Amino acid sequence: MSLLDDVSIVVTPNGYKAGELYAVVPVPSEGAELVTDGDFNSSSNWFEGSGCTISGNQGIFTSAPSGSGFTGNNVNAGIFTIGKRYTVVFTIDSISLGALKIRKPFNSSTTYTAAGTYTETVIATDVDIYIQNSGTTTASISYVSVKEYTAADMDVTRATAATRVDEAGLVNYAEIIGSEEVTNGDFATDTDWTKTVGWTISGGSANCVSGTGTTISQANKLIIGRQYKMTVTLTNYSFGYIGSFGNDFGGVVAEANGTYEVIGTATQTTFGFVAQGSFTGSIDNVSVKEVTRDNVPRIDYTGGGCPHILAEPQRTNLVTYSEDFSNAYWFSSTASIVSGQSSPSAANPTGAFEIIPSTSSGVHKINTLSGSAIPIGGTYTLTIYAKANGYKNLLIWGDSLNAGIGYNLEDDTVFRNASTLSHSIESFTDGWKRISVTLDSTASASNFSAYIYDNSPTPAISFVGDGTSGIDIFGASIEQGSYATSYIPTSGSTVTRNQDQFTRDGIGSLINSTEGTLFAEIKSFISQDLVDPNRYITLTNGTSNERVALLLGGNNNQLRAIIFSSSQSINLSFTINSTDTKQFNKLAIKYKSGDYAFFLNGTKIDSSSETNIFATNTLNNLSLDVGGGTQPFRGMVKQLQVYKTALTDAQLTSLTS
Amino acid sequence: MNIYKLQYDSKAEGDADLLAKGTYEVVTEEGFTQDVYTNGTQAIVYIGQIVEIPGTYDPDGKEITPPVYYPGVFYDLMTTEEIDFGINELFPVDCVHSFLGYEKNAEGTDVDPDELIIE
Repeated sequence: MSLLDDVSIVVTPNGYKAGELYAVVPVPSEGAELVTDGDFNSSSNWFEGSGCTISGNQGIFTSAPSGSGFTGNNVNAGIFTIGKRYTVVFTIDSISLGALKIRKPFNSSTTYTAAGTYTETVIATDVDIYIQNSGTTTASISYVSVKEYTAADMDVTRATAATRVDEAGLVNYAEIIGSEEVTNGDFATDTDWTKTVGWTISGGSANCVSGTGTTISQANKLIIGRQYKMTVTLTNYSFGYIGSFGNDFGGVVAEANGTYEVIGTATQTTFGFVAQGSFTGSIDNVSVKEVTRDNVPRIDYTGGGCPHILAEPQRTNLVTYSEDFSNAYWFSSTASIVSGQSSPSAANPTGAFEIIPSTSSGVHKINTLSGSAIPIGGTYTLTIYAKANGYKNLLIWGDSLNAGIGYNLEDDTVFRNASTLSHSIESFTDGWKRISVTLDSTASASNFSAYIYDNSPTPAISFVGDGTSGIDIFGASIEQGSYATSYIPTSGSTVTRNQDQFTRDGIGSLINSTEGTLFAEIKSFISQDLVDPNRYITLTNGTSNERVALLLGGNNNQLRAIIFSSSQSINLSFTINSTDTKQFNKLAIKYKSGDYAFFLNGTKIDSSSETNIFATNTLNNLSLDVGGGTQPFRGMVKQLQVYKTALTDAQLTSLTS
Repeated sequence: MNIYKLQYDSKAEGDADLLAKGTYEVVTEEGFTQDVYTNGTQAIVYIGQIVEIPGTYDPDGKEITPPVYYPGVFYDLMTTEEIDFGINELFPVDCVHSFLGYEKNAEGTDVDPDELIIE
C-alpha cells in the first residue's frame, strides 16, 4: 500500500491560475445537498420571517421589513459545520424593491438587486441557512442549495507582478496568457479587419500608404479593464508610425521595422492600429492575448531540475533603470556601452548591454551616477546578471564603501573579496551568471559600480582593452536586505514587488485534529534570517494558538517542528541546527496522543510521549505562515503533504529520505 | 486596487498615522516584533526623502555638491481600502516609485495593472 493512499492534501509546483495554486490532492469536489425543500415546495422546513411566505414553489418577500427572510427550520436547522467551506447557490426570480443576501452560514458582503442565479463559496461561520433581505424588499426566490466544497487549492496573494526563472532557464514574469483574440492576424485573407482609407490587405500583410489617422481594426475583441499582451511585426517601413487603440498603450507602438510587444489595459472593446504621420509600411503577425500577472503563483526553475514554489518578502529595487545602461542614470569610464545583446530575459531578449573596455590604459567601469544609490544605514544586496564576452572578471563594488566581490564568470572563482557580508554566483542559461553581494552601508551611502578586470591569472583593474572584447550585463538591482530575491525590472523609478502569501482555510474535513502528519520539502534563501527569523508552514485553526508547524528557525541553519495548543496545553518544540537549510530538506512532524515525532531527511530527530492532543475539528487551515498571516514562510517549497494519520516511524523514515 | 502617495514631516509621524489608520499593526509573537499589514493593505513602501535637485559626483561616486531634497519623507501605500489621508496625500505627476506591473505614475483609487513596453 502506498503512503499516498493515506494522504489528504498534496501541494506541489503544479497547476495554478491567478490567485490560486492548485493542490494535486484532493480533486475538488462537492458534497451532498444539505438543504431540504430548497425548491420551496413546502414550508415545513423553513421559518418565514415578517413579510415572507412560501407559496407556489417560491419564497416570497412582500414589502418585507429589512432584516427579515427565510431561515432553516426543523431538518434545515443546524446543518453546517463552522469552519468548513460550502458553495451556496440561490435563484432570485424577481426583485422590485430592496436587496437579498446570504446571511448564514456566512454573512456575505454581497447583496443582490436583480433576478438571476448566484453562487458564493466561503467558510461557514454559522450552522444555519438564512437568506436575508436588506431594506424593505419585494422579491421572490425559487431555489437554495448548499453543498460542502472540498479542495485544498491555496489562495495566493501578492497584488503585483513578479518574475521567476522559467522552464527554459530565462528570467520571466509569472503570468497567465489567454487564448488568441484576433482573427486572421497573419492577414492570410482580406477578411475580418475593418479598414479605412490608406489600408489594404494583400501579400500576407496589412499595408498602409501615407496614413494619418486611418485605422485597421476588429470590433468586440477586448473586455474593458482587462490586461492584454499585443505583438505585431512591422516591415517595409519608410515613414511615420503606428499606434494601437482599444487600450491604453498610447502613443507610438512601432516606428521602425521589427517585432514589438506591448502590454496594456483595454479601454474599449475594439482593437486595432492607427496610422500616424503619413505612416507607410506593412504590419503582420498581429496577436492579442489576455495576460494576468498579479497574484500568479511562481513556479520557479532556478538551478534546473524539478521546480519549486517561490515565497518571497516584499522588496524594492532601488536601481531606477535596471536594464537601460545607456540612460544617464549610469556613467561609464573608459568603456563603451553597446546595446542589443542577447539577454537572460524572456521579456526583453535583446535587452543586455556589453561593456567594452577602451584601448586607453586605465580603469574600465560602469556605475550609478548617484553616489547614494545604496542609501546610508542598512544592509543592501546588489545583484547583476553578467556574461563573459572576451573578458571574464567582473567586480561588483560600492566605491564609498570600499566593499564588493569580484567573480570570474567562466569558472565562478572569486578574485577579490572586500568587506562583504555574503556573496554568491548563480548560473543561468547561455553562459549567464547572476552575481549578488551583500554590503553594510552603516558608515556611508555609495554608488553601485561594475569594474572589468583583465584576463591575467592575477586580474588587474587597470589595463589596455582591445576595443572589442567585453562583458555583457543585464538586470541590475539594489535591495535592502541580506539576500537577493527574484529580479525586479525597473524603468524610470524604483519598483516594489509585494510579498507572496499562501493560505487555504475551511479544510477541516481534510485535516484530522486528533492525529496526523505534516510533511514539507523546503529550502531557505539564507542560513540565518535576522529580519524574518521564524518562517512557518502550518496546520492551524486560523490563529497561532492552535498549530502544527514546520519552520525555518531563527538560528543558523535551524529547522524546527512545533506543536502548540493553548486550549489543550500542548507546547512541544523539536529543533536541529546541523543541516544546510540552503539546500532542500525533507521535514515531517507527526502528532497523536502519546506519539509525537520530528523527522528530517530520513532520521528521527526527536519525539515526545505527550498525551494531550488537539480537540476534534480544531485544525482547518493550511498556510505558509504561523496562522493568521504573521511570520510568513520565506523560501522555496517543492512539496507539502498532509496525512490524517500519524504515520509510523518506518513510514516517516521513508517519506523524508 | 488603491495606491496612495503620502508625505509626512518625519518617519515617526508617518508611521504613527499609518498605524492609526489601521493599515498595519505591530505584533509581537515568540519574542519577535513585526509590522503586519491589516485591513486590505498589500504593501507599505517607505521611500524616505525624495531628491528635488540631484547632487553632483565625481567618477568614483564621491559627492561634489549634495542633493537638495523635498521637505519631509514619503510613502507609497497599496490597499484594497479607500482611506482619507487628508493633507498628507499627494498627487504627483512624475513618481519616483511604482509597484511592479503598474504604471509608473499609477495613483488613486481603482488602479489597474498597467503598461509595460518592450521592444
